[in-house]
Amino acid sequence: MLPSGPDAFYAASNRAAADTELNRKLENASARHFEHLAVAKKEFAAYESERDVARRIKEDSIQRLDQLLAELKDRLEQRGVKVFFAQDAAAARDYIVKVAQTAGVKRVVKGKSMATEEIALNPALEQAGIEAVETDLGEYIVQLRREPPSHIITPAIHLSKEDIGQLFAQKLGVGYTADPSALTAVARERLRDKFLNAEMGITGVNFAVAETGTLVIVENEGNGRFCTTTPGIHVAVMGIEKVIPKFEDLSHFLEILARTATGQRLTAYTSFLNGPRREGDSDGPREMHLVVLDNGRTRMLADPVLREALYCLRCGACLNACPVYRHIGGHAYQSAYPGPIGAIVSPSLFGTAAAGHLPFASTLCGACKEVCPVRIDIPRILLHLRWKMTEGEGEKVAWPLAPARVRAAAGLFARAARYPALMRIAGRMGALMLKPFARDGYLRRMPGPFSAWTRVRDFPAPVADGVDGARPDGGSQGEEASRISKL
Amino acid sequence: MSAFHNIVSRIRAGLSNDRAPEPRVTLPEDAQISAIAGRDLRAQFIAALTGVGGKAIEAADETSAVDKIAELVQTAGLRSAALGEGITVDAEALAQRLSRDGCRIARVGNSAVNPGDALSAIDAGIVEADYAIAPTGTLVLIGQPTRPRSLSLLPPTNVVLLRASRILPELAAALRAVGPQTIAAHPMVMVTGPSRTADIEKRIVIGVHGPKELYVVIIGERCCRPV
Repeated sequence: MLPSGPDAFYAASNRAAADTELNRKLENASARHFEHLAVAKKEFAAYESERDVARRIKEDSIQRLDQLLAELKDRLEQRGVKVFFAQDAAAARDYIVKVAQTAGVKRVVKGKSMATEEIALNPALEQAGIEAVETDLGEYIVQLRREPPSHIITPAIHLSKEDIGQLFAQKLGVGYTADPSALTAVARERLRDKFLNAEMGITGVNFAVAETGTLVIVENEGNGRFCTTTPGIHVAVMGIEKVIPKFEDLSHFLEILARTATGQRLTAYTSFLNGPRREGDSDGPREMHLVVLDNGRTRMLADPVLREALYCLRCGACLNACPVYRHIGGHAYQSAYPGPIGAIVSPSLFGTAAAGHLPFASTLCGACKEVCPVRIDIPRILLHLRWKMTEGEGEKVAWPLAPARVRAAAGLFARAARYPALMRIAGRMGALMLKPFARDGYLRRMPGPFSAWTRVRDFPAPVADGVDGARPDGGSQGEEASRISKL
Repeated sequence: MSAFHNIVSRIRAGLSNDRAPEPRVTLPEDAQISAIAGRDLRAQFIAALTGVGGKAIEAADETSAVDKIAELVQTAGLRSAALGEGITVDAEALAQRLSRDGCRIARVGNSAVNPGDALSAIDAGIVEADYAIAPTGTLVLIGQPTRPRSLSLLPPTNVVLLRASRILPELAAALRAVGPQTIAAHPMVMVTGPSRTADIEKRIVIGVHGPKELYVVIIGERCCRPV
């Protein structure tokens, strides 16, 4: 699913926020996620220092991205991999469909890949008369519902086991059960036949090692291994930012990725692939392709603040930590990449008109930054994008901003906030004016426009010196504060 | 200009303003910390393997390993097993022993045989691991013509032979042991437990598309005493 502007987002997020059943499912899954995570972190003494190292390797990789991509391309081509660089989603889709058509492919099995969601590959394959079967259990479930995934690691996080039991009974003609083991067994049996009879496997890539020309895929179910082993053709799709310099660098990523994504020490399967089957091999694909996708990533790289977003490992931790995501779920964002990381990458990938509103869908609480394994400063990037899309150069977000009255008030505040003395006086005056409305230390009912606030909340009554314009840090963040208030 | 050149020139333009002067960061030595160094690697491996749902079987030597596998085949009711070439126990002796006990044996690792067909109805695949990682309970399998990838993937039960001396103290040590030359020439898979998922309500279920059962036969006297 691709984002389609602020109005659709507003409607979808309001619906989702009111869906108490969805809320319960999301909280349920998040709680279990954090249980798994806490155990995994506790026993990993080097977790904090490994996060720093991983980040430095990513910084270095992006600084040398041009060289690393050239190196990766050369190594893979030497071993017979066809490497295709795609400037946008359409180029990537067209290439993959053409490869499939040329080889007479009727059925494709797919490993979990956010990059293929990003380029909307499945509809393109279907339009060309090619069956595309998602094989990750969560992806299989949402595909049966003809829905997009709602989480980048747990695609069916918005569904309960009962929902899935009903879905399987309805679509697969099996007896109803809500037992996760029994449901998993059904999927195993149904998909085994697909694996053995597909002519093409399509997967994402977690890391690409330039030095050795190695594609690394991490997964737990074994579907990624099937997609890259049994079909005659393997197509891997990755963003340009997935490349890292050295094979040994992986030791700093594989553990922190597994721990933050799923609370495991390592994922069940980490596959290292370097080309099609060689002389004498008895299995593996005979033909292998790598599609390397730009699709807006070089735009992100050119912006020194936004560039950090390219360090993302797609672990999904920021989604689980985000109070907004946990309230509205992934579908409301209407982007292949929901949640905090989605809010900062979607505008570059899908355009300002379609996704420029997403950086505003955040409380800036900072939980995402805390959990990010490579310490991406997501709140800072959100603020930067908000600024860019309201006051920066280039395309602005087509967002009906706050009502004129609110904007005027915020503008007034922004100007006053630059003068601590003025703020102090205004604060005292405000306190004096509010005093008559206080009852038992609370403001419960206010007249005029202020009633909009007191209808939903009781405010503590102001104390004499309760508002102080001076910041304890001497106002070093004053500029940022005024920037926020203008939004 | 090709898409590759277009993208590379956009990257160069994007980085031009603030490209870092240093070509490569040097990682601090203490970055490669082994949190649990100096402990009994074998015991540590077994504990981690068990933690992810695998089962360890200890064997003093090759002969004992053959016995233990034969025993496993009986107790687990495995009626057929596939065997690759190039394992360190005597493959011929193992095959004969299992056949005698009524287990049908398929020999793979020959490019004339399509493993997808040969393995689709086999109960167990028997392979040997090149290395293991103690703290994570991980097996490292380097792909070779004699060891098809499907062997550790298609059969519902996976039996992995492992020399105790091949157990390494950490992931970084395993990557160093494999090395860039090998990884450039061979596919590889690291296996940590049987296949699993948590896609339904984040509840862990063992046995999705890959093997449901993972047995690791650890061969060798206890080599490493606790420090």
